[in-house]
Amino acid sequence: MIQRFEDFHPAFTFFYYMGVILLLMMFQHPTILVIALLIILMIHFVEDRFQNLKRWSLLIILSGVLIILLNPVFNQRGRIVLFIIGDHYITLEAVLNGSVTALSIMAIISIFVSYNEVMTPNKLLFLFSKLLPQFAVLLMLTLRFIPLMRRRLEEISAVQYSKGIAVTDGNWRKKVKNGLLYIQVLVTYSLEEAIQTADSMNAREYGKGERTTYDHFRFKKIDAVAFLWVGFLLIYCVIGRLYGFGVLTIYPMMDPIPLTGMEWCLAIGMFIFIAFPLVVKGGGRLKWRILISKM
Amino acid sequence: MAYINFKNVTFSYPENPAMPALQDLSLQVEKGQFVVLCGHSGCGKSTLLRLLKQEIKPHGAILGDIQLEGQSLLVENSSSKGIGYVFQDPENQVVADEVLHELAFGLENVGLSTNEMRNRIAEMVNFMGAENLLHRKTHTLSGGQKQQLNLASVLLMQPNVLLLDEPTAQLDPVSAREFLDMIVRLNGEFGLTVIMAEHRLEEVLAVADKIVMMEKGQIRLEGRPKEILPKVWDSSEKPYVPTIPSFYLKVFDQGQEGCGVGASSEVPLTVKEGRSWLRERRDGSPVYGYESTESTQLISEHKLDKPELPPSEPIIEVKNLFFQYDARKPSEAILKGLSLNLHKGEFYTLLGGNGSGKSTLMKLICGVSKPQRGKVIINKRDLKRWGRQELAKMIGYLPQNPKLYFIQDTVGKELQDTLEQWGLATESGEKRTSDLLNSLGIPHLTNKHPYDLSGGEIQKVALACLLVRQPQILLLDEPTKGLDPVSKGQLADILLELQSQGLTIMMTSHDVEFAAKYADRCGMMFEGRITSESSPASFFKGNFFYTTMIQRLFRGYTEDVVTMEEAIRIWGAR
Amino acid sequence: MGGAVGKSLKMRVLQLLLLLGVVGILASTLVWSEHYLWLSFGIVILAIIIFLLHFERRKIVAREIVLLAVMAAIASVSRIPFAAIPSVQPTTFVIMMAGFVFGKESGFIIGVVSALASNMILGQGPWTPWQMIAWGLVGFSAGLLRNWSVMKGTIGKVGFAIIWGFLFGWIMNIWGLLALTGGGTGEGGLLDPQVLIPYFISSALFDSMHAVSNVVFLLLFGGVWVKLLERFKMKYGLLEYK
Repeated sequence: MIQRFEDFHPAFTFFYYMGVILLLMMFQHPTILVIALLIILMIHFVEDRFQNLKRWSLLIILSGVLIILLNPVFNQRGRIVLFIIGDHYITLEAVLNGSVTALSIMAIISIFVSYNEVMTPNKLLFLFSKLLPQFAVLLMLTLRFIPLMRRRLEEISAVQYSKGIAVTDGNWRKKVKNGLLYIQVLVTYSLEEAIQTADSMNAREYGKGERTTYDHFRFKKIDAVAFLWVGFLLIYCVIGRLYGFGVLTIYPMMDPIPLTGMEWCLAIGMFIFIAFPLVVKGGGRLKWRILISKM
Repeated sequence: MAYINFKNVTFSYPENPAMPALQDLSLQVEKGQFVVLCGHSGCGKSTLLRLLKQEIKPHGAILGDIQLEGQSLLVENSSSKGIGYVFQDPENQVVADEVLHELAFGLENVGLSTNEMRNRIAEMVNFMGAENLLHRKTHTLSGGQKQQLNLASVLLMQPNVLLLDEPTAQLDPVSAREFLDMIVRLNGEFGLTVIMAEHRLEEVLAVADKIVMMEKGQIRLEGRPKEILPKVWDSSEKPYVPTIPSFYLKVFDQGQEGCGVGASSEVPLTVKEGRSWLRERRDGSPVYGYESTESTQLISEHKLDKPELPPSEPIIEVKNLFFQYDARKPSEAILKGLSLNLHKGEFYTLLGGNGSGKSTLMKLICGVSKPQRGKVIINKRDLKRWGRQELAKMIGYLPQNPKLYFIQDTVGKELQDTLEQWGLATESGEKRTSDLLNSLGIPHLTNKHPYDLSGGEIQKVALACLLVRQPQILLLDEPTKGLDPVSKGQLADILLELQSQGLTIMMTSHDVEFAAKYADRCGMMFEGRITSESSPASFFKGNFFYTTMIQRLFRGYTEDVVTMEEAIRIWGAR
Repeated sequence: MGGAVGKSLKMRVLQLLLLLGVVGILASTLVWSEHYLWLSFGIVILAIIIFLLHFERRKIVAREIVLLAVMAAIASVSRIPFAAIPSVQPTTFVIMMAGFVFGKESGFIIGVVSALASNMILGQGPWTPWQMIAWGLVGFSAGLLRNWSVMKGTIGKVGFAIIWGFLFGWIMNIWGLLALTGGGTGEGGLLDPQVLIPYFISSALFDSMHAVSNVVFLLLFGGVWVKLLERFKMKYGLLEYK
């Protein structure tokens, strides 16, 4: 069978995403972040031709632009003045500072888009059930109740609307009051009904003994290998960063922007880390080719 | 030694120590029996069931003893692990967002290993034939599927006894039948002991070993269905007797010469038994050889009884209505060019399967949802040109779940609130309200919390709140759902009374018998349109499946008998 | 099987990891004092984890857990009826009321779960932990202060509602501010009043709307809701937990 990135054990997937976010926060260097962002965009392209990213693109671009623009507004420090508006200095340092932050934020939000796709609620719930079983039950119940509450709210608003109590009527105060009346009916009704939910849990022996969890996901050898590989890369990057590589010092004195040889070595480690889903995909393709050619 | 043994049990809730919920009750159930409990809401059925299940046992004072296989269930730390419990509401019992999680929930609680869980779930899914549901989100399931899921989750715990508290009350007839079939299979093929509280005896009569009729915390009658039905018939619980046996018993009551029930007679429980009894009667005495030729006469007789309404003005006109929830998905349209006319003072019942759009149509008529295309005209004025308060005064809408109607925490406050909202908090308004409460028989409920009322009571109270604002049209969404037969009869009386006062009533229902008996016109909804529409007599006449018990009983003998009253009239005329 | 042993072992491992996390964060602040606010992410997440571990230690009966879930689910859908009215945020009010009646611990967990669950459905982002902690603290502080004599009166409660309108915005702003300044300190950095003041003023409009809606809800519904929730506390048989 061909391993897809989504098929890895949730613990690994979670580790990968947290690792990427950590790296994106640690390496505040424009060159590194640009390449990292490109890799993340590539992951999205390979995954679904930017289908998901599109929905978030406005937020990503907006926050990026805002940060780049706003930084020089607040920040006049720096030696290299690009231009002056009124008595306000726009410095290269400030612009660079803003760009680094903007890149980092944009990359982080983009990787979250992929995270939301791959780390389904089920996987997260599974992880919680291993570490915090009681909290996992609470979270599961909440996730089960949310669509139910939505439907009940629809019913409540239909009924109350037909009685002449609507959130579209009257002044602001009246609207707000009617809106919360809906919520109040929802609370009263749902808490009343939920006693039966608790009874149904008790009738199925909840809280009587030690609870186990159904393993929806199995930790396979390939997960262990992936963990080792990615873990090694992460440690490599963190150690490199601790030695001071991979960050552009802007204040008080700006470093030269181009990366040094050592920094490239470090950055490549980070790129390989981030590109893990691409590696898996490429590996899968290769394996598929080989399988076909053998037939 | 009985398998389950209630020995002189008296149980009272702390809120009401003077009125015990169970009073000196004794009941024996043998292993493998199928026992049905029935009686009004509040007669103690649920209390009795719950006392058997340790984990959800109500708090209160208990006397006497309850034993399972000779072991008392009342001692500390007694176990009722072998007992499974299914509740009434399909929705409330679900705890997980995905079917597989739901099934695993109980097994996780008892600490099974994943392998064991997998085996048990595989077996269960196979038994229920639910492979394709395993990864569905629970909130996308229908009510019937949810209840099946609840049953499966309980069965996974491998119980010996299954307790069910009105498990089909919230289901439509098709799902209810499926659910009951499953219970019957479990009882018959796996020897599971079943104790079930149920109002609708129609479906369970043929399979139950014992019917227990309860009243005020005591057992009124108990015994095999055929033994007990004549006794129930003679008691005040008459409405509980299902159509076929009650037809038989009615005929029996009339006891006219040559009109007795016949020599070999035992109460027929099913259509099959009923028909064979009819055949016997016909073959035994030629008097009863109905020929189809006589049916014309019957029709005219029916028409005499329920005259076609004089053509009055239309009050609701629906023209070519289109509606879909998601504007981008026209393929999921609920209503596809629906048209409908309702006349002033008419009682109209809308029938149709689950999800056929009955409720949606009601919401469109009372302006809660807006159609994509088409028109709704109320009192010769386009709905769009009605102000919302005006419309609310014109149309009273009772939702499927009347609990969602209430904002205040007592019935009295809710009524007061309504009066104030409509500027009726005058002396005359209050006088009218109290008259209204009296006529509905609910003046004693004003200080109660709406949620503490029984299904029948809360409906009456919601109706009272609706009627305070004197609407001309009443829209009722499945008002008969989950009602016990007595409350159903009361509802019918109320509706007929309102109709006689000039109200136009439109209701949706799955209850064929109710529609046949009380409606002026029935409409069938299918594929987003009303496909057939006429008076009950001709509406059900041609139907094969979707029809009343009496029609099924008489099919082939005579085509035009739809309700009990008509059937009796024929027998009486003979 | 030694379930109890298994559990305590798991707990120990978790505690060890937690300790490592704390040490790691402290150590890294030494190294990267420049970017310590990035590390506040870590601190926030750890704070939540510590609390969740605490939650895990007490065995909670079915009724209580269902009640918490209902409140959390309602808090996260409560925005829906207000879709037509911008900048009204009933979630804060619902969590506040839950904290008032069910106590600080339940208040915190309801806030955390409702933020987490709605983010799990709507899509998570770097704002998730901040939202969790902000709403968690709304519930926690409501529970903490409920027996304080000042909070018994209307003025105290209104003050509380106003403060949270702004405080909530500020906590969420830390994340925005962080993004804006890259977390640097010193001139032009995070704590420079030249940055701080305009930033907070710009969010003040939203925050004051939040505060106003909190107050309106509280004045109109506070009393009714406390009574209503108290009734359910009795009905669910939930005895006060410390």
